[in-house]
Amino acid sequence: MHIKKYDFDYSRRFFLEKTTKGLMGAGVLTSLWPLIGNTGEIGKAYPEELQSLEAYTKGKVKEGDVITADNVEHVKDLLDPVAYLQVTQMGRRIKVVPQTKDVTKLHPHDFLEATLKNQGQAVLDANGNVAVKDTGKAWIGGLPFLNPQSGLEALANLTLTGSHHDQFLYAARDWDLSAQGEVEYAYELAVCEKNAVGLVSSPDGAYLQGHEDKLKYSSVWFVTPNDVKGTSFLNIWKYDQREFPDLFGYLPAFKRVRRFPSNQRFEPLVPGITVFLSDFWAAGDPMLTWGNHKIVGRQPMLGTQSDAWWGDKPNWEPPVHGGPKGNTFWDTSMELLPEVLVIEAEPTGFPRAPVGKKRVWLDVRNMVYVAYNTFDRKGELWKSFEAGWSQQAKGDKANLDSKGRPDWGPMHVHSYDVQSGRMSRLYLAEQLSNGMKAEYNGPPDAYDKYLTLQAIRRLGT
Amino acid sequence: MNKRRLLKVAVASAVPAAMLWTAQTMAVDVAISGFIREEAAYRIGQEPNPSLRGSAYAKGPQTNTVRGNPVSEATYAAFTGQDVTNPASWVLPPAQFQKEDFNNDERWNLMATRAEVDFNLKFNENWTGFVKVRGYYTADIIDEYGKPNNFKTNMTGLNGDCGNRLEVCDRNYMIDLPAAYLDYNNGPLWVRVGNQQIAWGEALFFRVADVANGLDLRRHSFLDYASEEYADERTPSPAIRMSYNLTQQWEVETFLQMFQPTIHPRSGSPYAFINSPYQIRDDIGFDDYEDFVNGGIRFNGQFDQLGLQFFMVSRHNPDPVYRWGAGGQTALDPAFGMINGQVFSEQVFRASGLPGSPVPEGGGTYGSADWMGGAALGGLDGVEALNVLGRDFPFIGGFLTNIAGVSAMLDPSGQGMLPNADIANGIWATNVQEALPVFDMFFSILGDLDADIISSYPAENVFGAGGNYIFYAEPDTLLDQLVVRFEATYTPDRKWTNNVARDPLTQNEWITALAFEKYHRFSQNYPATFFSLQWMHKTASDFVGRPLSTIGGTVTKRATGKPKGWLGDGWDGFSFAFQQPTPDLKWRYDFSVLYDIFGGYLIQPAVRYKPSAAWTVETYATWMYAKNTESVFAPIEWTDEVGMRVGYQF
Repeated sequence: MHIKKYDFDYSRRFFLEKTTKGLMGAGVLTSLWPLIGNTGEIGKAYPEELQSLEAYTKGKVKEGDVITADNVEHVKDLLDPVAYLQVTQMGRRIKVVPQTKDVTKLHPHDFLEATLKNQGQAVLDANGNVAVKDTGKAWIGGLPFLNPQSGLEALANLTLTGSHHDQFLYAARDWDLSAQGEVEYAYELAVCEKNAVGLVSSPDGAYLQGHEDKLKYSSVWFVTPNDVKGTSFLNIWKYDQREFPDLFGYLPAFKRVRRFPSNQRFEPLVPGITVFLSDFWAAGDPMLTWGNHKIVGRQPMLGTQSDAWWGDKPNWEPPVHGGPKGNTFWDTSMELLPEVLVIEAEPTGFPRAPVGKKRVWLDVRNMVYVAYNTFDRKGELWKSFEAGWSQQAKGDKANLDSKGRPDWGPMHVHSYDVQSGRMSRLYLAEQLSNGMKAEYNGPPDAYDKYLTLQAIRRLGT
Repeated sequence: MNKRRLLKVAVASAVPAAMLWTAQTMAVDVAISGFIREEAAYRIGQEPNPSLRGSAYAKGPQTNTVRGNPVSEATYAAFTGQDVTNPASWVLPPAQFQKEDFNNDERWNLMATRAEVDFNLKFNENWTGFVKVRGYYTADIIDEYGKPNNFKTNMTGLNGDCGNRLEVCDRNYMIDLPAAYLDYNNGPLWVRVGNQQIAWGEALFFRVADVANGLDLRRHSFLDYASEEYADERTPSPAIRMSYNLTQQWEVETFLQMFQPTIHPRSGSPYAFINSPYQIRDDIGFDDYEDFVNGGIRFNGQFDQLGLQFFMVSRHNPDPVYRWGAGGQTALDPAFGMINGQVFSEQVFRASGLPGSPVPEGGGTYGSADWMGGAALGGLDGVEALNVLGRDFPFIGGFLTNIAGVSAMLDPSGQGMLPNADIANGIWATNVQEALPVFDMFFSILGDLDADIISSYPAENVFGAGGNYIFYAEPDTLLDQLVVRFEATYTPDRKWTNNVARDPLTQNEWITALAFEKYHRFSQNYPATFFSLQWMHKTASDFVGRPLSTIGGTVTKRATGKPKGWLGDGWDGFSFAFQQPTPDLKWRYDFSVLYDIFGGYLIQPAVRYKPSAAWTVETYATWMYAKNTESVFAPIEWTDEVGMRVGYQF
């Protein structure tokens, strides 16, 4: 489709005007979500320059090309500052792939259906929590705010629906590299999360019966190496986002489950890793423990929304490249995202947090974060937590959900500390060395198996 | 190995054997990991372990109180067959016992290599398994009377000569399976079957609800890295443990576990805290208890900020109650003949160095000062221990009665050496002045002495409850996410060592602990500092389980007990600890203090360095102080040391 009546800078001016005037609907040529509801496609919502990088850069960089230090200047304004730095100074290469226009490839099926079904029903209540309009009940599933009117509404999308699944079991593998490119630490960890509200695939409705006052249950347990193996934590998130989660931990040294405070969220979980609790989903803390949420921009961007699943590789492990030893970055594909929201917030509930501000780029097509930067208290750029999202399909290989459709989710993360030069790169594997396999919306007994005090006592060794 | 022991080992080995068989015959995911670690500790204190080498507590010349007292000298003459009417002819014992000093001033307390290999097994979604193999080798860093025995216990094990059922050992190595179990999980049900540790409660280092397992103190006693608590010490045992989530809030958990006692450091090993002339015969003691099963049940509840637990455990207390055993030294039976229907070998003592004694001459307790000093360090009343010997062993009772009678006859005043004896009620000595010459009479006749002490593990029921509560307040304030934990147990008719008597001391006991924990961030640049402050209160015994009624003795004073400290009745202790990691968690600085209200403390600063995934280096220093023998630290006050561990994991 070629829409010639709009000149090249139309979308840039349009986004600037929308941001300054506080107009919050997604889409340039037409409203995005009604279009998605009608067609499942996004093409008609954006002019040509926002549908292909070739058009956007007037042919300087096109789909199929690889962004390197040699051509990155042409797309500098489409990358977050850390990704730009990585390409220019660290040898990172980014393959450009065509834009995903079929929105069914940007969501799990059930989640997209719930999003469309429930659109317009979410409000923020007097406390700032998401509620169903008219009933005041907890959220009923899908993205609550398709056209966020504030930074808080935008981040509520992340906090309430980070994975777009009712539950998941991730098999995460992590490598932590020094600034010199040496792999200093490596971990395997499992993560299980189950939503208590906003369920989209449950035959019993939107709520987990008896748990309606909770947002979700989340546990993480380390599988390797030996000195952290068996360390496991259970987070029980309250639905009220003013409250901190309940945190219970099993530490092998203690051989028992103990309760822990949960307000220290800006520290590495284990030695060497650059990931903080606060980083998960770019919204790792209860959203109302942060403040000054605001939408600061709207723009096109490059981000990973496809071609990030390596089902053709053993244990789905992506190849690596770049950095001092050629192993700092996952091989990454990015596509031109026609419209992202740029959100900022400050950790007002954490007076001594080392983070002064976070900036999150949300793809309006599915409201996932495609880039996430934090800044220290001096305002200096500190960390990037860049996730790659994708359908789990590649060529003739696919990882199918229970209804036979390729599943979808985050595939990898680059967590890079700009100030120390340390990189933690994680990806979601098919299985861990202990035989634990990744799974979406399963197993059926995940709550009992992974998300109780009894469970983390059993998982600890 | 006899058939009975073979059967028990087979039962204990059933789970690991089944796992091995299953792993070989069906598709099982097996993950293997482990580490090897060098562990060393260097003594920085001036004094060596007083419980080594024939009671190094007393060395050099020791006063013989038989001498200088005409009545006791005459009594000695009578007992040695001399003419009591002619003092000039008496051949008296030396005025001083020469207590040999065997101390070599070795400085290394520990020089060991540890290897642990873990096998994680996954059979299917419901069945998993875990096996940990632990190997521990210690170099011969001390030499008491030959090479020390660090591990051989002759209680149980694959060859019947070790401490745990799934263990092989020799004097300087042990290999065991601290964990070898199968897990079955189906919905709210979880069953764990096999060799395992069970830890209840939330207090750290203070064992209140942690009543399921005893401690194996043969490796580094409990003096290793304080922040690891008792992970390495807690003795595993074959058990069936079941848990069921009754509701979202409540869980019930129960266990049945083959009895496995606490194992103290072996006599003659670097960290021994029982005086070396006294052989710990837990091999004999355990024989009477190895068929017993301990069991417990608890209910756990979690209600937002409040956590609760209620439990009851019916058990044989794994912490031993000691009593004297018969010495069995028949070599002297003819010399002493029959006294009160017993021969010499049926009473406690052995003349060290003579046939039938495992201790060389000079290695036994020698002299009343040595006796009283050793007893005081062990939390015993040295005077009452004499009466215990008389009551429990007719041979000694008769001997004491003879001393009382003969000395009274030889005393012009008619009082004799034991003027206040109430023999009908089994009391011979009533104070230290009376007891010292009697002890020295023994030593003057027999020389230095050694003996056996036999463990027993009386039954008891422990009732307990606990809770935790997390406070919420304004960020950065003292109360913000302060975790408060409380635990209490009540044990009616608990039994303790009663001056090594056959009949244990019996008393009800309350144990409570109150803990405050908080993570607090002092700066934006450093991760939060973890603080822990705990208070423990015990009504009848101290931190290490010595009954309060028998502590506090000295060389010249019998123990009168210490029923209260400045906080009131009972023993109280406080612990304070903090941990401060660096921003990347590569370094962590720990500091731990344990304060004994009776006058003592332990301080341990430590540093942990983890430069890479494979390597970990930990170093720490431990200082202890005991004001006197009332302090729990008195027996181990010598243990000022610097330790280092260097580990490589795979």
